[in-house]
Amino acid sequence: MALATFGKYKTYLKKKVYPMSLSVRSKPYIIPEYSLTGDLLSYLTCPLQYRYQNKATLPPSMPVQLWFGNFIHGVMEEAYLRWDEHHWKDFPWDWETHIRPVELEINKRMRSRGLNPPPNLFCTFEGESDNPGLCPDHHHPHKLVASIRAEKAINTWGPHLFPLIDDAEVRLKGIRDMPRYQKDVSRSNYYGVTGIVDVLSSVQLEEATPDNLIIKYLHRNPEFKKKIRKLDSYEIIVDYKGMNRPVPGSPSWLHHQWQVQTYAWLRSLQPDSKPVLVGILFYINELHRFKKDLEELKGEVINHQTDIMPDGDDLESLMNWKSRTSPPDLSQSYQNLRSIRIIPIEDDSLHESLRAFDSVVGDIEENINCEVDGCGIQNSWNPQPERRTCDACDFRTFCSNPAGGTKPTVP
Amino acid sequence: MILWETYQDIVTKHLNRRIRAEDNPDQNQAISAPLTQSQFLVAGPGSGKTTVMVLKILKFIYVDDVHPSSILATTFTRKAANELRSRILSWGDEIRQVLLDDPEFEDLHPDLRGLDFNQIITGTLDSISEDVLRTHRDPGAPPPVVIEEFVASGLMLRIGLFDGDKHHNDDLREYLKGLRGTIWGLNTPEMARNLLEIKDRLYYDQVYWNQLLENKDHPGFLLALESVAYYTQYLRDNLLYDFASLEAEFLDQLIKGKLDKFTTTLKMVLVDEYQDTNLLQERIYFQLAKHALNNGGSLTVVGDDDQSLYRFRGATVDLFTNYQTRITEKLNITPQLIYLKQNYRSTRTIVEICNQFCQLDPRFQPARVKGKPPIEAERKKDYINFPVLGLFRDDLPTLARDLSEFIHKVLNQGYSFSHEGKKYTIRADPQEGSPADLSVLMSSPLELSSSGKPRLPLLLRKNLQKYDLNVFNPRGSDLERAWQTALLCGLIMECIDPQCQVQDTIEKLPSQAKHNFAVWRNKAREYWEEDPEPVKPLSLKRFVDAWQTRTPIGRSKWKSNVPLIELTYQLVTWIPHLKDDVESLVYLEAVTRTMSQTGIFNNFGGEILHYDDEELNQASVREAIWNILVPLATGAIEVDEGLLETLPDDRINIMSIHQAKGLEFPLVIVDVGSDFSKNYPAQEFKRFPREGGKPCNMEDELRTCSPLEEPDRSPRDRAFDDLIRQYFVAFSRPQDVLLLVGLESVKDGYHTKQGPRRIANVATGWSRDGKWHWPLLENIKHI
Repeated sequence: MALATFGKYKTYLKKKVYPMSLSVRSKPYIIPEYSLTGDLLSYLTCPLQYRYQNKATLPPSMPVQLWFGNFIHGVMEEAYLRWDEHHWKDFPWDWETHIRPVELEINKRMRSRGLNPPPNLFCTFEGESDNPGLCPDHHHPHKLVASIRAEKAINTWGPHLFPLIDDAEVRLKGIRDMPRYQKDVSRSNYYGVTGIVDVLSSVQLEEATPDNLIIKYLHRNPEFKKKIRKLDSYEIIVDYKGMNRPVPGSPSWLHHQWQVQTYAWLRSLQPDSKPVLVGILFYINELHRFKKDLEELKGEVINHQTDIMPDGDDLESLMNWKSRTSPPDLSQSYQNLRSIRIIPIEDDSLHESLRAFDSVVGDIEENINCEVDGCGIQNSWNPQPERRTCDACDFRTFCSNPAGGTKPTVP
Repeated sequence: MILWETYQDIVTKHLNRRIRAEDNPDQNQAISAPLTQSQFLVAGPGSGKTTVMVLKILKFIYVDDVHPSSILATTFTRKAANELRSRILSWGDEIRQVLLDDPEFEDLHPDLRGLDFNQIITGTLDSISEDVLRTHRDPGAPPPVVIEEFVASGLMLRIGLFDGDKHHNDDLREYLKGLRGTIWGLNTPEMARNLLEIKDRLYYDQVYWNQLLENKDHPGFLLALESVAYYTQYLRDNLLYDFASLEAEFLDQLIKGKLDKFTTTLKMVLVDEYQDTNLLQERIYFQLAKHALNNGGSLTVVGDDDQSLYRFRGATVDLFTNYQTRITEKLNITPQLIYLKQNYRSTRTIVEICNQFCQLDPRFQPARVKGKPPIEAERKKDYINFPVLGLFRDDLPTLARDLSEFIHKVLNQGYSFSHEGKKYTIRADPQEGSPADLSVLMSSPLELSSSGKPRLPLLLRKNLQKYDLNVFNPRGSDLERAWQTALLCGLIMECIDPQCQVQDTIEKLPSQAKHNFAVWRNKAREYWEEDPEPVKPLSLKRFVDAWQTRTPIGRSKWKSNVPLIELTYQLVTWIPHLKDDVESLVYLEAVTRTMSQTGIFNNFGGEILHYDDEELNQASVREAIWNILVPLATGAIEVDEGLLETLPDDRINIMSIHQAKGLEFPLVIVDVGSDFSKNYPAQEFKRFPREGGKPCNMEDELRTCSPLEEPDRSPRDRAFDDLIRQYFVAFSRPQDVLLLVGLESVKDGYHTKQGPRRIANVATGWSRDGKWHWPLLENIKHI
């Protein structure tokens, strides 16, 4: 019996079985990076649209907002550089000789990245041509919508903003702890967040001329006035939005607040930065409203939704205006006031904004994990139906829940 | 900031990296070197190269007080740059946290809090060049505008070939055939690719143009140069750059001292994958190094000549193997040579076979870094030392069937076998293992051969499906042949151009495009006849009918301008894979990207017009076909694999050996001969070359007029060297198990009327002198 057992043991030793399994493939360690505007704000607009347009990089068929947003940023930055480097200090700038070359340069850069101007928004011709292209006639160049707004933006805010800029197109980058981190489940224990701003410094502000509009608006802001009493040197960060001023309390209003607070936090991480007192957002489209924009504004005024109400002649012209007639001229001062938004940077709102974006990143990461688990795209990313978004969305025909239902048209 | 000993302690205890001299002398030597010590790190596979680079960088910051913005580190790919950056941020932050939590370092806390690792300059050389040129450009100068690779392809097609009808020119075709060594596959996009390669080499090898013109007189060559000249002139006229001209501009500005603001602060330069550098890049690195040395810093280059795979993209491995001589001549410094020879990835058996493989060909040794030691197995001992396995079968279907069964068993109950008295079971980890732990590597992952015959990747995919196993092989089929692209493009063509009315008026349509258009259109017609869901509120058939007759639905008038992208997205409604499946979405992205980004030379901006002017309408359709659908149909467009990051990890990876570089898998299957049933001369270039092939022909053609001069090694030797390197990379990917697969004929030979024949094959242990060092592959365990 003992011999038989020993025999079996010998056999066991001879054909020793190694029970260990294969290693498990380790994933590369990559900290996912999120752009504040390109990722986080886009996700908040609609997660499913974000998945297709941003993560899958499916180009929009009519990239009006995307194109114009990039265009106006590029135009303002390039205009500042020419103001600084070519000493184009006298405003207003002539559109054909000064502004048009800036537009063409930005258009060229955007085309090389595949961002082509939507028709009727921008004339791409550099001079007269037999070919009308998509313009009304062949007498190019035409000052279409984008050019009208670019001209207004440069000539309205250029003289006041450019002298205050200390550093343009400052790239901001920071990392934060990954929200709702789970070992072996989350892609990383950190996430990166990025943004680009212009920075105004207190030195420049103190040297500005007394008729500088930005200084005037800043000094009208009680929070700003309170803060500068306590600080010798500080900064203001600036960003541009190719859109109308949102209604207070609306998602856009809140998201832009978060964005500015987060920019301020990112800026504070840079070693050469000073305390950021306020952020300024310029809503460029307010400088020239077309019919549809004015209809919207009228509605906001009637419903007391907007924070910048017209008065006097502006109020009267707006209320008396009928959409079938030509749009009334609103006063420059009213347009200016609507186009600038000053957002004080406060610890509480800063932390609240960071937490809000942490939560957004947490949601995005969960959606990604769901997809990696094999749920499919449409089950992993929920649409956020909202009429205005869905109407302009390329993916509404295959979205499970677009606002306004599915009424197909051809084309 | 802190002492080296403190840094070493923190790295060992908190980051769990054993970098002490007694644990890892090579890594220790590399990381602890003083900041003025330039280094030449020859890093074998699995030696922890990224770890070394990251810890060197953090050591410069924490121990040597180097400011992060003074450190520049380049990698070969964007993915590698992301990994490097992520690791720096993560470990940098962890070390900082340890120091912040320790009151002993209280006086350092303000400095620690101010540390911003994002200021370290990391990226590919292209991305760094672009950033630096943008940030430090002259006042008034525009920033560089860099076009993507496939925009460059489209431009070369249009400007280099279609203008002037060069794609039909016999002299040019003859010349390119000579360079390639074959006429096979020389279609229009391939001609454009070859011209771009010539263009790249002119930059990368720093060729003297005038000397070239004096020395070459083949009419085809002159035409090729003309195409390249038109292309580069177009870029210059439009102030555009491609990657090669961007790097050339970067070098030019460095030499002229126009980037002094950038170079005055540069101190530490680290270059990864140096074995794939070219002369232009070497010059850039040496310029950067000059400044770093002047600023009290150093240059560290890291790489492995045995893993140099990019000769075909202009890389010159000699710059690596002769690095020490070259840098001493140019910069008068002697870098410290360190071999990172410890392999932490693989089992002892796998390390042994890798060493054997790269040493078995005596004529390969002079091509390697002198004195290079074999790699050493240093992986922790808690693993099973599986033998190297072989699975060879008489024919391809049987091979695919048995290989699939093997894979299925590994992923389930385990695959058991006996070897030298021991019983082994190969089994994926029951809890955390997945199909992603396995990969199949081959020189080409295409599912079909050029003649349309199924290859191993296709048969494997079909057999694995029987076990409910999926594969991940994004390069398995050409974009134009993928069913998703075929169906979508067919529907697009049928909508915009019913009955080929416009297509038939296009002169000189490439024949490949014509063929694919016909296939696509057929697929589309078959598909809408099936009446796919959704049928309500609008069926696909009704949608297509409306388009074909331009009859509006749900609106009063047909739109005068309809972007092709809009039509494409609407069609996705009836192709569910395209909206829900990650892989299919990548095909959709390639199609829509082509539409939006060829706008650089589109008159109609990728739109289909509908005006009273029928000629104008047809012109818009013609342009869409020519600028968008022809490139798609002729293989000019590739998918963006970077978009596949969210692919479920429940798939077995099938990839080319090139794609596998830098990666590791628990189990790796290497195809060493599923294509080789007999000793066909046409296949020799893949296993036992007679000539150099296109990369060597290009080198020889152009390097005579470059500072590099004629290569030392013959074209045939270079081709052999490259094959050895390719399979060395393949054999060094696995952690636990290496399985070689192929046809029996590769192992045992085959019989002919004239007698028995063997198939000479580098991958199975043949050296170029015709000796078989692994006869009958008896050195491995056959299953």
